[in-house]
Amino acid sequence: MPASTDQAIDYLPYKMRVEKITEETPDVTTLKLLFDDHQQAEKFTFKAGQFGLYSVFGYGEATFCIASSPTRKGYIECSVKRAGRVTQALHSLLEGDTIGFRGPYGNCFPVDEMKGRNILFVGGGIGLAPVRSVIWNCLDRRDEFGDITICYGARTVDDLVYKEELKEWEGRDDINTIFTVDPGGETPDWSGKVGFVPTVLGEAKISSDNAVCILCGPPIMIKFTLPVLVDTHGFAKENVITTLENRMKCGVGKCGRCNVGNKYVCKDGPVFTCAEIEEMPPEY
Amino acid sequence: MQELTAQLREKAKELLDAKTVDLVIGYGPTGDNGEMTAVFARKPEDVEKLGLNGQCFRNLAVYLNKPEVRKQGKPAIVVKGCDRRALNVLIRERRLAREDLHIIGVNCDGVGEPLMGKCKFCSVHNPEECDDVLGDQIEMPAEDGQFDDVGEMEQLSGDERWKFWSEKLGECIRCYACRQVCPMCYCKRCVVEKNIPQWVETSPHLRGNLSWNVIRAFHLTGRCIGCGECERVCPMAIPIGLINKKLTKLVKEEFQFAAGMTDDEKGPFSTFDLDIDTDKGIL
Amino acid sequence: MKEPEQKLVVPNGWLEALVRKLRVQGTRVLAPVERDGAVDFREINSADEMAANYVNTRVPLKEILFPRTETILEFDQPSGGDVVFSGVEANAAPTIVIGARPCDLSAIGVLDTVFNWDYHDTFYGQRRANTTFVGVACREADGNCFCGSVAGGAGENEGSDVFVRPTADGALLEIMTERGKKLAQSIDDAAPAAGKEEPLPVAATEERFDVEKIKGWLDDHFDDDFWLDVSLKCLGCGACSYLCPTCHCFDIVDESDWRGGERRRNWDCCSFALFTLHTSGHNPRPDQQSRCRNRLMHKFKYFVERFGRRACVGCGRCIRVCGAGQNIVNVLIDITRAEAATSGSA
Repeated sequence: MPASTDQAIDYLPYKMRVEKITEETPDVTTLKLLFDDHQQAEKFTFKAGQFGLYSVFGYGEATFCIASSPTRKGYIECSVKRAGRVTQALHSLLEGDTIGFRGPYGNCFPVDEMKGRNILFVGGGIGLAPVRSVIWNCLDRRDEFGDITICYGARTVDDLVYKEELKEWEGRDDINTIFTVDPGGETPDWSGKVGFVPTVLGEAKISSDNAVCILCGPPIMIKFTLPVLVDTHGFAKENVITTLENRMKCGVGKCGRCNVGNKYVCKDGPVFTCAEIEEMPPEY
Repeated sequence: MQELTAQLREKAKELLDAKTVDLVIGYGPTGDNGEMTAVFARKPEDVEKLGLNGQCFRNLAVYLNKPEVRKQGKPAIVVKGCDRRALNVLIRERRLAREDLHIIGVNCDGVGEPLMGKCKFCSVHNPEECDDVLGDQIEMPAEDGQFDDVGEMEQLSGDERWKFWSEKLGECIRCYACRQVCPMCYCKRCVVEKNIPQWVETSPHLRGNLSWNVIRAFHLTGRCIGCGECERVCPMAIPIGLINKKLTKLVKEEFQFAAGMTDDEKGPFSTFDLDIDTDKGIL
Repeated sequence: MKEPEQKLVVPNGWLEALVRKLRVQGTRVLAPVERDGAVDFREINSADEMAANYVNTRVPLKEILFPRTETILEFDQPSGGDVVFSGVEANAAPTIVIGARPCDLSAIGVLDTVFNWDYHDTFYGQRRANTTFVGVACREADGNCFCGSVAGGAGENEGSDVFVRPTADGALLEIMTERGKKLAQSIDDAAPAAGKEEPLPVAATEERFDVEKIKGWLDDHFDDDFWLDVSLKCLGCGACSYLCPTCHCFDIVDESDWRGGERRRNWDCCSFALFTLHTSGHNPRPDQQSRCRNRLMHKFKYFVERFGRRACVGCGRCIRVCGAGQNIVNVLIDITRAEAATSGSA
């Protein structure tokens, strides 16, 4: 049996306040949240890749990764795509409103083990959110890592999230960037690539030497990107790291809905290597 | 009965051999006690699992709604007269096309030991409009008093009825066995599963249970054919059939209508006719 | 079977006296009570209220520790976007449960694992700490009981605080835990057992399949037509899971009006199509065959691999309540046969 965290869980969230709302795309919003209680804010720590349950009282809880970096203290951010009951409610919040947050839960990206290695970040659509947490984590400790490449794609220019940050990354000379939109999604002044992420990635010059890849996006993108990483660029599946996003209610290994075989995504994940995922039954 | 079983197997084999259908949905004995449960014969050799006897009380029509069953191809289905009524409602509501279905009717003089309540008041012992019919014609008049239990309930005061139903519905655990076994509950997303807005509270407390059970009954008004499966499968023994029956009685009295007697009938709550509905509405 | 801390003999009438004493002290006592033909755990004031004959209760013992619905948080919603919320205390009055069956008590071990393997669930934990279980050996089983195949059988004392083995003129009490010792102090006329007491025979539940072999087959047959055959008749309701003493899946929902409301934890079930459905429309377990497979695999494979024990205790409730006539024993016997066929040909 895995080691116990030996903590009590009463499902009581932290009380947070919506500090800032950024409309990323027509259906994605980023919420910056501050702790209501300063002591809680000081004690709170998390690692890139961990998730939490965000609640709008009266509507319920929904699970998202923390999209901000653990190196930026005192607040957390989450990026939410409007889809269901709770995400709709999250989208209708105003700055200053109360929101509940419990977490952080789950494992994390092995940032410390990535020290000294080259990192390829691959994101698709809203899938950039968990990747962004690691990107800033690494950029805030830039000296500790080798080459950093960020490959990001969305359906259209409108659907690209974190547009200001994309510009910032593009302008830095210590990061390689490949930004793309799906064919038909470009605008006249789009200067990036046009093509699906796997295609664009396949054509790019990428080295898998001493490299690790962080890959998040819609299942269909992951399905077609993985062979490009492994067969074209020579990544070992152990070095391609992603997150699973099964439905969760508790986040702490009890409610029973996130299991894939004998693994609990909420406890053993959400971060898994593609080699680990290959060993699981295909129920994710 | 053995003769009927032999006839059924022969018919089923013929249909599967000729590829007239891809599967035969029927009854068959299972386990040590030979309980008659659903059997899905997909290959000619499977027909040996089929059987018929007086314990075939289940209404197999529900399986025609299940995507997993639909995926198996064109079905033949074994029905009693009461089950045949369920098919009529499904055909009338455009859930099924008559030509996509091979119906094996079984003339039935009642099921269960003792005889199930619904069988005493049955007026459809001999299913109509079937592709095949097994068994001899049954002459068996329906008994009077179909709605006696509803009448007894109506005699109670509002407070007494409230007490009765609060106790009974308070037990509901929201397993939705009643919905899942009902041939008429085919919505891809049930109203209780819709949460924008949240129409019905999903918690198994009295408030949520009342909402759920009342809305369930309302949705079946003029559609319920009285197979009684909901009440039979309820693990908490809630007399939900009685709620359906009350509404069936109302529909009979107010509209002289019984659901599922033909496949082109117009249900009272799914019909609008400018010549008949002469009430001045809000427009 | 565990070695008791202490063995006591008591004469007939001991239970009546114990319940009387506990009620005088104001202690909550739950026991199987028959109402409208169904036996369930209910509060009693006197041992006379207890059901005389019952194989087991309709709703399993789990509900005493893990209720079908419970409030876990309250909030009110004044204007201005500020929400005030607070946690709630678990309703965990000290409780003595009398007449629980060995299968259900064995299932409490499964729940203990789930609710404590990592984080410790406070609602479960508070009730667990305040509940004393008096188990009773089963003198009768029905055709659906199969504890002999998956658990310790009708005389298993593990999981009880006090385990009762009826004798011709009273009972032999096995005191299993500290909580049990505490309760034993309230039992009058108890004498240390001499070792020659003869408990009445317990119900026989023969072994009908081999759980080890079943696990072996499950290891190799995630993809198999067997799952379609098993699942076609499943209607996809939650009766089997809700009334299973080990099933512990839950949902968390908010319910409110304009003034405020509460967050609740409710039983949930992996047989429901919506259980794993993502908002995007993607469903990791999209059909009944994958859901039936998960339920069986969870009980006989995943849970074993994860926690070293099975999540099935053989109470037979899933068989009794299934509207479609699904019978897990038949399914497991079929797996045993399939296993024999594969290992025979290998």
